[in-house]
Amino acid sequence: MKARTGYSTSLKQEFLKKWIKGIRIYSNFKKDMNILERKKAIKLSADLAIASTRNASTRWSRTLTANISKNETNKLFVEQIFSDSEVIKKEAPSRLMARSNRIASKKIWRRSHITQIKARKMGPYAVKASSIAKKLVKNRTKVLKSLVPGGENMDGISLIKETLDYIVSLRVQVDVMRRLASAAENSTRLGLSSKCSVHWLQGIFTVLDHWCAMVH
Amino acid sequence: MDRMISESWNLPSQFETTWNGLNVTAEQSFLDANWDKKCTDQFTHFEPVLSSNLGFSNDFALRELIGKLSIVNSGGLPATPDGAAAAMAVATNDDSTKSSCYSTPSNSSPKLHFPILDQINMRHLGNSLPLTPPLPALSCDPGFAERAAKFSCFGSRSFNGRTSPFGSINAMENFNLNRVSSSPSLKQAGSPVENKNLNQSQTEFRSLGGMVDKKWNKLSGAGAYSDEASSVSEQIPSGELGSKTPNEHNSRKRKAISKGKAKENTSTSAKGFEDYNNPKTKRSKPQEISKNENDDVKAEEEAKLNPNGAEDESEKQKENQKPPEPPKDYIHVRARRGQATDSHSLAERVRREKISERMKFLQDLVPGCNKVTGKALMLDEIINYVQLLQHRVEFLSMKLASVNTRLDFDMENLHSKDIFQEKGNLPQQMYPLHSSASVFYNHQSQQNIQLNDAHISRGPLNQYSMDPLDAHNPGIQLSSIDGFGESLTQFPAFSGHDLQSIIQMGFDKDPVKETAFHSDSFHVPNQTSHMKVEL
Repeated sequence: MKARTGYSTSLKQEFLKKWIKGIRIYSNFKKDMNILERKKAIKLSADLAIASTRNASTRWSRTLTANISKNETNKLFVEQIFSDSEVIKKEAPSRLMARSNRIASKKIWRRSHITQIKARKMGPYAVKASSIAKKLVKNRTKVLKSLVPGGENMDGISLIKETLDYIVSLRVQVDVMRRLASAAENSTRLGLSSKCSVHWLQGIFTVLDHWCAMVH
Repeated sequence: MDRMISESWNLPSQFETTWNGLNVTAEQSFLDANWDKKCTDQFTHFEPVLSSNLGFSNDFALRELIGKLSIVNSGGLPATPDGAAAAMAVATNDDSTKSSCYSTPSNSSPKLHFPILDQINMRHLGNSLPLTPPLPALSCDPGFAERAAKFSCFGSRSFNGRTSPFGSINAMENFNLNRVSSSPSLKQAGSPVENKNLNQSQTEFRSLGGMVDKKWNKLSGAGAYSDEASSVSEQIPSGELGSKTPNEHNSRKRKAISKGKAKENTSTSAKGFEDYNNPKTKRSKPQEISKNENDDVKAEEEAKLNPNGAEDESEKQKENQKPPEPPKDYIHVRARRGQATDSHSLAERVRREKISERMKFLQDLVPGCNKVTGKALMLDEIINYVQLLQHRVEFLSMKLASVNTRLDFDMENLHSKDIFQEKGNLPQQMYPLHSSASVFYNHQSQQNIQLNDAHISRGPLNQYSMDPLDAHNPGIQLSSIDGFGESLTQFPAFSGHDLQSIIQMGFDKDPVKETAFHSDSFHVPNQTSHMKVEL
């Protein structure tokens, strides 16, 4: 357990740093954003940050960055942030193709033969029960695949692995964001100075910087 | 090479004496060896030498070994081969060999011999105790000491195995303990490498302890040509041991052998080697090679057939830390009693077990999954959790966006405990999105979401006449008024435009998200409009 918490704290710090960086760059891109744009900026930077903590080693992180970069306006933003490491975006498609073909052909075979084999082994009633159960599982895996980015072409085993990783990262993201939000609330509750920020992000930056200083 | 090695194992007695002698001298004399990394590197030079040499008869092999050692290291440490040669020569009590030994080394340092001889005389063969303090004469020769230390590793393993009754695990355990604890030099430098090798060789040793099967001999023999130097050394004596001991530890051996093979990058996969990739997941306890599966499923076996779980579990954990194994071509699975043995069902079983393994990890992550059994239900929980987390991210990003419209934070007033004050205000569960959003905004304003929903269409002015914010906290009100005033001047179109865009966004999204956005999005323009009113 201790190792786990240590790992997640470092992960949180890394995420926070990258997130701040992303927000800063975005705000330099665009001034005078309305609330929705701000929210989009925040979310985008958060997603990119959490995906980059994986260093493109997982499918979901690669897909996430790829999806974000698909949008032309975001592309520049992304490239600016990740001038260093994220060249691996290109790698995903080719492997995807081979993998999906293989999986598809496997599935076809299985679908055609599996009921035969089962009927031979067990009685006909047993086959039906198990096939119902299988259908249930299948539907749910479909839903899960739609939820996890990049989960479409994965088989069950790696899907679960990706989900594991994705859940961990999501939790980190949520945790950091929540703490930040509550910190912001607390500081407003204290009734701080009447000086107002010129830029909407300065407030969040001060909080973030302060927090980083605390954490390190 | 394989054949030669297996044949060499059929000459146990000679081998034993020589190895014993070697071991004795090694253990006694070379304790103070400094096991730096160099020693490992040096040994890797010897590895092909060793493997090639062990094809011959044992005495001869030893002599060759020593000779080659001396040749290889003649540049650095001329004195050292003498000591080793002398030691071994003495041990073997073979005059002819002595001459051959002495002929190879370039120099001779007679003073080295005597302390060695003395040591040898003092000890007896049954000694498996930890090594004694080093000889002063040898301390001048670190390279020699290194090699000798390697030799001790080399020899003492077999030695210990042989002294203990065949196949008794206890002896091996003791041996392991001794091995690990007795040589402090081992621990010093390169000890992680060494210990790793030790663990490997422990398992290999145990595993090979019961081997009689020629096929296994071949495997281990082939395995001797791996990259790991010490594993080479381990396998040779242990393989030799295996030929003598009965099949007492078949199960354990097979487990270990497959693990050992996993480490070695053997190319002879056609013969039925098992490899493991993906050290992250647990490796299963391997089963006997009952059949070859020709489908190149890059999978790991998860079947836990063997009751001897504990030790191998721990070793597997250790092995799991290592870098990923090369991909393998075959899975070797043993069919359980009463189960079908055709390849497809076996592959399916493997796959199923892997999935269940990973589901267990997920159970730890996803809260509330413990009581749920069955794949479908668990997947349900997982899906719900992922959706929940994703919505939370959206929600929080929106909240942060709205927070930033308020004023700048005075750094002096920020205390660390405030920043790290946990999410007391935020709800944990966001399933009931409406109520949660209301709770979330509660300490700022005590508006209900119903109010928001109800009044948004009528326009912002109505509800704020009785704004609970006044009652709640005037401080916030003032500051937020200032903030909003400022932000309003900066973003003149803030309230109207944002309001419209937010509503539109809320209606565009799917129902689930829509509820989330309704709740928080409506609140924000309310605040601004409220501020507008106040101003």
